[in-house]
Amino acid sequence: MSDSISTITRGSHHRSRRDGWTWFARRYGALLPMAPGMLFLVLMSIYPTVYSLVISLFRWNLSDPTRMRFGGWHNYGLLLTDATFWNAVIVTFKFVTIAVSLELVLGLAIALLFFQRFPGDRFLRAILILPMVVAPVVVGLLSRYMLNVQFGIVTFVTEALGFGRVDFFGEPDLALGTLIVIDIWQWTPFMFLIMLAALQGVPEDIIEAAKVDGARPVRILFDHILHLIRYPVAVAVALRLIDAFRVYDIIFMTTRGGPIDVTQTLSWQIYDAGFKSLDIGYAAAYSWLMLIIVVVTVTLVLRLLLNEQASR
Amino acid sequence: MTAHSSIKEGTPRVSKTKAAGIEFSAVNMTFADGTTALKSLDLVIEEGEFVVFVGPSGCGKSTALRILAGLEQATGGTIAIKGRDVTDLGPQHRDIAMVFQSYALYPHKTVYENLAYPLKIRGLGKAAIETAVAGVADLLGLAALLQRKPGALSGGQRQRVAMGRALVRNPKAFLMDEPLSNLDAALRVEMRGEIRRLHRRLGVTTVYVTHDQVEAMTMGDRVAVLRGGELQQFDAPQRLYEQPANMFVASFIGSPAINLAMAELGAGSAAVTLAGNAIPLPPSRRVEGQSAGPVMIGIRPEAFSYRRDLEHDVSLTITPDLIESLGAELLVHFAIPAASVPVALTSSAKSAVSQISLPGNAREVSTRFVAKLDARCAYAVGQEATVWFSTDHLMLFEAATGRTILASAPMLKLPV
Repeated sequence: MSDSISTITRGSHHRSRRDGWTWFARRYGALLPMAPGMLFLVLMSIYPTVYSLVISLFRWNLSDPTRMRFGGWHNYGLLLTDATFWNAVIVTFKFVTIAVSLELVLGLAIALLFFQRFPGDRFLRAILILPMVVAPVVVGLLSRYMLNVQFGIVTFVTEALGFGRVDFFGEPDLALGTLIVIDIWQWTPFMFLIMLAALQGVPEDIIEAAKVDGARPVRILFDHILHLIRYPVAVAVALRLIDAFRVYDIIFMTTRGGPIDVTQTLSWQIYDAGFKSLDIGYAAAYSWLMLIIVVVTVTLVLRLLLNEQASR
Repeated sequence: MTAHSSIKEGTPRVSKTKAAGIEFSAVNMTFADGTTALKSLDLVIEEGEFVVFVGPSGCGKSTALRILAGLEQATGGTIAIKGRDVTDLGPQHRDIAMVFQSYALYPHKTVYENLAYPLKIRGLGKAAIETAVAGVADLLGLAALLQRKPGALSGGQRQRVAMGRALVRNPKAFLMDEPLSNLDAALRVEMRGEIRRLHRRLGVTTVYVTHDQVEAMTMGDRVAVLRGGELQQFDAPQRLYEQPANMFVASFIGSPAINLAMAELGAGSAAVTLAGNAIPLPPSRRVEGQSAGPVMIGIRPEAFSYRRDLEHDVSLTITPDLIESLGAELLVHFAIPAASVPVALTSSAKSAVSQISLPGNAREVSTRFVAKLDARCAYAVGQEATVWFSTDHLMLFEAATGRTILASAPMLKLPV
């Protein structure tokens, strides 16, 4: 602003091309180095997002790609009255809440154990975080073989223990629980790592002050430590929530949504609608509803974790 | 506890029964990495006494306090508080209160909640907690801050909250770990007095750790000087100043530091020769059974006078090379042609500085001295002058060990 004013007063008589260029460069020059990043963002993120929102308003099945009719809220209306959508919501929430909360509690418990330092803890810590580095598809594949009702090692064990053959993925009462256990096995190490780092960031003198004030370990944990690590905990929970909502790989490798519909999660249903039924407009609307569900859930959980303190 | 709170201001803090408030018996501390923090510490702190642990960093004073608090487990020896062996008890069970250097306030709790916490832990009722917190808040001027979080307080206010949290219950002892070191100089002096007054009022046994010898001198009923995990001396401040047990204590206590130099003790300790000047020792100042030979001499900067009088009767001719004015007094720096004492026997940090030889006098043997003189002396840099001192204020230390051979006589109260 001041630059442009001074330029005008200075060069009101003969404002050369050079002055104009300087003014332009000062004003917009900073955009130049930002351009590649912005271009990438627009092409890879903003355009697809807007595009998916647009096609969610169309009736468009890829079995007949040329026939694309505007449907307005048609897809959304269809979804909200679809029992399989609501089933998927319930299945997903069961999966997410049970898996993430158990991962949180277990991760914290293990982190508290490792926080004490004991002989061999570094080695054990390295072993513990291994599941995290395995690709989820591989985890799915491995569990498919291990839990196979014919020849899986787990079947061997359950038979040896006298439980007989248990079809973990085929039994409607067990399938979702089994998926949850697999997710917990893979992702508790992530919670553990973040919790351990958070615990190591708790000022030691505050814990010591609490001890001198007479607090026992459990009170110190609930009165102080949990409050002091709540920011890293909130970040970890948010990351895990988002990740758990889109669970797909292990379902693809094991139950494929079954038996019946007990493991049909939102992402599974979106895959089903988009790539099996090729109903791409419907799948896009599905994705948008899922996005809203995830954003609302994560926001509420974060508010619960962080604001509880501010109000006290 | 309650018995002591009835002690009126000005009465001696140490109770007549001389019950042991805190007792360290042969306490050893060796850390996992092999460093020894404490070597067989024996110390008896009387009930109601204000004791300061002082020493350079790494001397073990904080470790001793942390062992007393139960935050650190000693590798040997026993600790007793009010006659009860607490060696194996955790800090929760020792009934002590501690003020940390960092204050260690609970950042997620308000000032009120911070103050109330130790009482809440003890299961006191809401009304009792409110009364106690209000009392402490009143005492320390925190009443207006009760609903704030520590993050919204100034350093001085935080310090007060930390004090308040210790005061709010009646502990068997207060432990303070350099509680004033994060405050600015003016506030530090103010709080120093305030802590002393609080102690006089409450009469609770207090152990105070500091690296600042001025704090130690001004605050302690008795001061324990530590070095390298070993107790050097445990005495009243004035005795530390006048009768240090060894050269380390002599050099650590006092500011500016005591002047030290190598000297020669004559036969029968009739005289001591400093930089070629034989200083005759009166019979009262002779050391029985001390063989002649090299000794180390110590003269406090305050022992010098610019004029001769009844007390100051030994002269030294000096040429000041630096004069610093403190207003009423001058710090007159000069060099004397005598060898410096070994650094290993003094409080290292201070001596390390005085051992740096300046380019101008690198070839000759010389030691830097400071005299604290009345500003009326009107000495000038580069002009030869005479300073006077008394053999009463002269200290001698064993050349090999630094042990005190001759301490200064107790302060004379002579009319000038």
